[in-house]
Amino acid sequence: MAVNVEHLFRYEQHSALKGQDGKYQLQLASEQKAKGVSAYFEGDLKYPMETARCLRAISILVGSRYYVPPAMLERILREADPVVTASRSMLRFEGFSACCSTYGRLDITEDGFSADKIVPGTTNIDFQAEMRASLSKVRASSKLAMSLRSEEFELIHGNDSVIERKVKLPLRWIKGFSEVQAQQLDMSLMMAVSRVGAIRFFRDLPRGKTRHPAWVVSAGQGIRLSHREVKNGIKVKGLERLRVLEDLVQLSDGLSIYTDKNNTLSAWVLSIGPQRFTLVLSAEPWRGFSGEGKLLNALASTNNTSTLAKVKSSLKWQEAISPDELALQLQESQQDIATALSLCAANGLLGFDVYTGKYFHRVLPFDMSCVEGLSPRLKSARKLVEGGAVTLKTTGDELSAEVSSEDVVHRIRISSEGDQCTCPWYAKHQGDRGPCKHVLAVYIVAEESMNE
Amino acid sequence: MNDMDLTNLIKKGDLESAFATLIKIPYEERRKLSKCAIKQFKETVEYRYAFDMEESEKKRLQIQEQIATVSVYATATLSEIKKLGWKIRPDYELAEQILQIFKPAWVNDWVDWLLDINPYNFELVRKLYLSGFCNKPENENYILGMILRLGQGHRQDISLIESLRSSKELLEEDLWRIFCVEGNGEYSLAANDKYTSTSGSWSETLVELSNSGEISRDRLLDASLDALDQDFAQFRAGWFSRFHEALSPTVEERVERVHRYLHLLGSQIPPTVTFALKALTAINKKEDLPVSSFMEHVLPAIEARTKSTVTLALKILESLAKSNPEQANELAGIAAYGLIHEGADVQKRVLDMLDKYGIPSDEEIIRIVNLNAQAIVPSLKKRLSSWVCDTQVESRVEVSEVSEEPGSDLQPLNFIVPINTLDELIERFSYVLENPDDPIEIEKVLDGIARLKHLQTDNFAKLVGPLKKRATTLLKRGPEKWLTYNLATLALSYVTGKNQFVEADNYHYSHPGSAAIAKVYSNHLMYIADIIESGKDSPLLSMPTHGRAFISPYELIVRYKQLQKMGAEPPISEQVLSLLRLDITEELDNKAQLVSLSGEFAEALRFALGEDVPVGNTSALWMAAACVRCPNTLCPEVFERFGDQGPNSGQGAKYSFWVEEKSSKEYTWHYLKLDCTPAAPASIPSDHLTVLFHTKGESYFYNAVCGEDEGVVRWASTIWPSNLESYFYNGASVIDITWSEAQWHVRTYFEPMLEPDVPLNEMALLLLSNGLGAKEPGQKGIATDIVIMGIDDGRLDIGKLAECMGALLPTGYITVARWTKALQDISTVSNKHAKAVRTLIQGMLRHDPADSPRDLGGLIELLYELQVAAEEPLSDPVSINYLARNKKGGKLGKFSKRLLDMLENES
Repeated sequence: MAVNVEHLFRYEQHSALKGQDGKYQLQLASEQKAKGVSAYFEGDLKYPMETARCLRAISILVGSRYYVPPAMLERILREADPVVTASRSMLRFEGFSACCSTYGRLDITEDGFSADKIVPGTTNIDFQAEMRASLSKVRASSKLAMSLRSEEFELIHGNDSVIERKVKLPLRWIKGFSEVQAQQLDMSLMMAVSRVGAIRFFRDLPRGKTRHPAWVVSAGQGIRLSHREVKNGIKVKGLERLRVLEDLVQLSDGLSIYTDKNNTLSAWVLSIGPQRFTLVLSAEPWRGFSGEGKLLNALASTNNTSTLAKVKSSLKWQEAISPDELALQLQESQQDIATALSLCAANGLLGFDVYTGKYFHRVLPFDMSCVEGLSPRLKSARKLVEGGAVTLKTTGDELSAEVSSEDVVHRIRISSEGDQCTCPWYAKHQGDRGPCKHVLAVYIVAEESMNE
Repeated sequence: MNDMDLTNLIKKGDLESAFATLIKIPYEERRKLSKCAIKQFKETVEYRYAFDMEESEKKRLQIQEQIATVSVYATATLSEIKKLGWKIRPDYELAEQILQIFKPAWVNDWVDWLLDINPYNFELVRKLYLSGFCNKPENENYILGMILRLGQGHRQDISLIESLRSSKELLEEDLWRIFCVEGNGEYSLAANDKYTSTSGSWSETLVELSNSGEISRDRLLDASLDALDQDFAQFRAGWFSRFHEALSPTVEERVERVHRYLHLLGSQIPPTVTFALKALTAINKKEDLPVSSFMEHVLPAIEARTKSTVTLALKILESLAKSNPEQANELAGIAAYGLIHEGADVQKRVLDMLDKYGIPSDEEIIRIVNLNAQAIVPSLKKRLSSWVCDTQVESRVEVSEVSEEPGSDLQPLNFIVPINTLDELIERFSYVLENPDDPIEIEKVLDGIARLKHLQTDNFAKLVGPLKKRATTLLKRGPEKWLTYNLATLALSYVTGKNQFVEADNYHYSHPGSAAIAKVYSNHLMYIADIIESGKDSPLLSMPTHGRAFISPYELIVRYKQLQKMGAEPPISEQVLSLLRLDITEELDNKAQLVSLSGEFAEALRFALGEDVPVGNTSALWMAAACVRCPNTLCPEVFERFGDQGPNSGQGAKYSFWVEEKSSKEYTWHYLKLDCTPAAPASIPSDHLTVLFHTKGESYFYNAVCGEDEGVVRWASTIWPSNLESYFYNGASVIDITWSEAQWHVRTYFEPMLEPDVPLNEMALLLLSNGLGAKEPGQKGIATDIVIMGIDDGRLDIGKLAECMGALLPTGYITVARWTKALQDISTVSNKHAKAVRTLIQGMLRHDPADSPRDLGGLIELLYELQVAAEEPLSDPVSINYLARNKKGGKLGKFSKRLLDMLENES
């Protein structure tokens, strides 16, 4: 059963694009979070058309549902708003598709704007369809100023000027939004394509939806889609998700494509002058990022509390956090720092920029306290542990165990070659989507017994 | 009043007295009755679904429903009412009474909700608004409802124009809101006008009102341009551009709006850009456009995907350059962005303009040209040389270091390692239950089940507990996923030690298992269940030993000996399967092993391996042996013994294809037809596996041979791995290149061709030719990949493929543009591939040029570009003759001439 977290989007006014004759003021209404902060950004955007198109793409992405489960046909999720992070020399706009399968972010570096005022912080911004429509009016020759602000106000019942939208955000949406960050960590650059090659590639993409996976491979001076598995080809399923980049590719200088070690996730980065648009695709349109379960072991562990605390206290709206440098700075092992950073990302405290290979600090403006508690697999694993369902059989290089669950006994083998379980989850995914609840339960019990 | 009283009030059927009774009760008291009212309402509306009800009874229940409705409105909150959905919508008379008597405070929210659930509620809401019960809704659906309900399609009594004329408010206020509302997939101006008669359409009506001076023409022109600037979806935006043109704006009117048109050049809707360009073209014919503004806005049109849009933009640029020589160089620089378009004629136009107006030393132009130089077609590369600096040409695909050279693709599975432990067997069985895609993996599990009974110990039931649970769950889901269902039945047989196929329902014999090969697969699985029930270990005779399900003769002999020793005799179909999987390329060093075998299977095996052995009595065994011994040809010994049993029964199968054309007054359809000789008998024994591939479909279902389960189609390719022609024949029989309905399983037929040892013979080539012309990207993509591979590894006989494609070319069955695109993709892979494509296209030109299909020009243009890139004229005399005899013009004529000119220039 889907679990939802209710979020109240509350703005003093709608965002709007004001002005005419090529001189526009983009007034982005933000939620007020930090007391005393009324404006995060005020200034000019140096590449108005490019920024406007990218913001429009983020907005389209946020409202997209690339997969609709049959049972949900009748109750389509109301879209959430994009999230913006201002830091000293960077503006980042993040969006996540309603189906939880696609993440997009626009990074505007300091060469892309001139700021009169900039205050570090993260907030939601109101981004309605009318706003999206008006952004399409901005042209290359336009002047575009932007303000990102929320006047201090107290909510007075019956005050018509306050805009409130209560949205039930599915837990997997919030979890996916946060977990996609750390999942980009093991991605590496596979291909860098020129603008011409990228335009050709996007123009040749199939128009309709496709069911089978495809692999992006190099072909002559460009790239093309192959429909058979090719070593080092980048696997993509749900090509229609790339359409959001089609309108931007002509503005770009080139395309970089990244993939993770299992070749399941891919990240597509368009460089558009001093701006970058990053699109991260999950393995399949019907699979979110939270289901990948790569962070579950870290979440289950209780051994890194002190490192986590140190890492958390070091976060000060940095635009780039290198795990290696942080390990040196905090005098902690690289492994512990990596785990702590992953946990911070899962808690919405960090984003990851695959282009620079570094984290950045931001605070997702949602209630993240339930992320760990509501992780269904972890929750089930803890229940198994509490119920005494786990029996460790041997220790040493290979750990085996039996876990009694719902009138059957699952056998678990944990070794350096990988974990194995006799449950259908393992049978189906072969460990590609993180540990099953039985393996997690064994990890928890094993860690407890080691600590004892 | 209590619940019982309310129930009685509803049952009584007196509407007037119900109103009178309910209004007397204070609101707080009435609220307490809401649950009962809602319950009663839900019960009374049920009569709507009764079809055989008498009229008097129906009328009685209708009144009860009205009273129940009134009761709900009198007692419930708005949110409670909303939960009842569209059923609680009263008609106007009842709504009027309810609002008049109870005067609810939520009336404005309620009408908003009515519009939200259905824009068709516009009429009811409008009546309520006109009667003063509510404010005029701001809801967009009010306007959408107006578009629909006043539109001609829904009103026969009064025309749209009369409706509009009847209300000043409609004409002066509401009408203008239609330019601000986009609508959705179901309701919009575009959809309304598309599906109603032209004479009553909104477009026609507004033009008429404008012509008669009843509404402002200027305002209509501006409003339609405003709408086009609003990011509406393409289909819906189209109405506004068409309407704007339907007003036939004069040049003067267009000139007044020139900046609006210029602005629309940046629209993200391609037809809107084309619309704006056409308007600007019209202006430019009369007077000069503002050059600087045009240059400022035109870039998106120059870089558009649609050829006609780019061409229109270039035409205006040319015209402006001609009339503004001082800015001609700058205009040429803008035109240079058009080089990104893949059309040679577009690129030529750009180069013409550069040559005529561009200053060769202009750094900006050189930068733009170099930026796009990678896109230039070969025939224009020389012309570009004066603009291109080699060092600046951006033509890179940087592939990360981990990448390997082409040809280092994943290698196919070679030797199959059998399962040897109980843990592995249980783990793999669980795996195939969830992932039944790999037939070899399934065969390994079947072999493990058959052989490893002796490993089962006392704790077997505990070990297979999870497997049993999962199988039970999957069986409950039913046989929709046919293979999973059958494997789950086998799993249950394995964990219980009993053949559960006997007890299971007969689904595995019905759809989708009604396909001939699905039945064979079913029998194969049931044989394993029989072994389980026997309680003895047994080698699986048909278990593959290496890639694509081949069996080593050595291994087959060993297994057969074991079976003989056990006194076991597998079913004939199993024996046939093992013979068909025999790898006869592996020579036996020690034929003495064969001599030690006895029985008819051993004799057939000897025969298959080339020994002279008298033919026995079991036709299926000897036909399989003959198929392996002399595939695709006559095997006299077997044919004489059993006579004509159908194709691949001791005589080869000869396939043929042709295209059948059917026409109506408006349309022509083309169907690919296939046949084989000898013809398959009407009834084919289930163990004549090679003949079963030619089963004539009596079934209602699309494919009576392999079915539509991808797992079964894949397994079918493992039946006779040394000869897949009949398999590809089936693929070519079922493929629908127009994708008139989804057939995801058909892509599976292509998969064996990705294996480097699978020969690409006649039927494989026919399937490939279809795939290259298929609409569905998956089918087209895999066919393209196979051709690329086939050229790389030398499997593909270009001459034979050309023969096959050439036969289809003039029939009208193929959309030649799809072939052109696929071949263009293939040609970009390497020079070797480009050369193969050149040979292929030339080889296809074997028909009478008078019969050439209309879109052949693109293919000939591709041939020309490839010949230019290779700097070689045509060499094939037949295709040269074809081009020389061509009398058609257009692209075909143009590029035929250019190719022939190349020849002349060479000589």
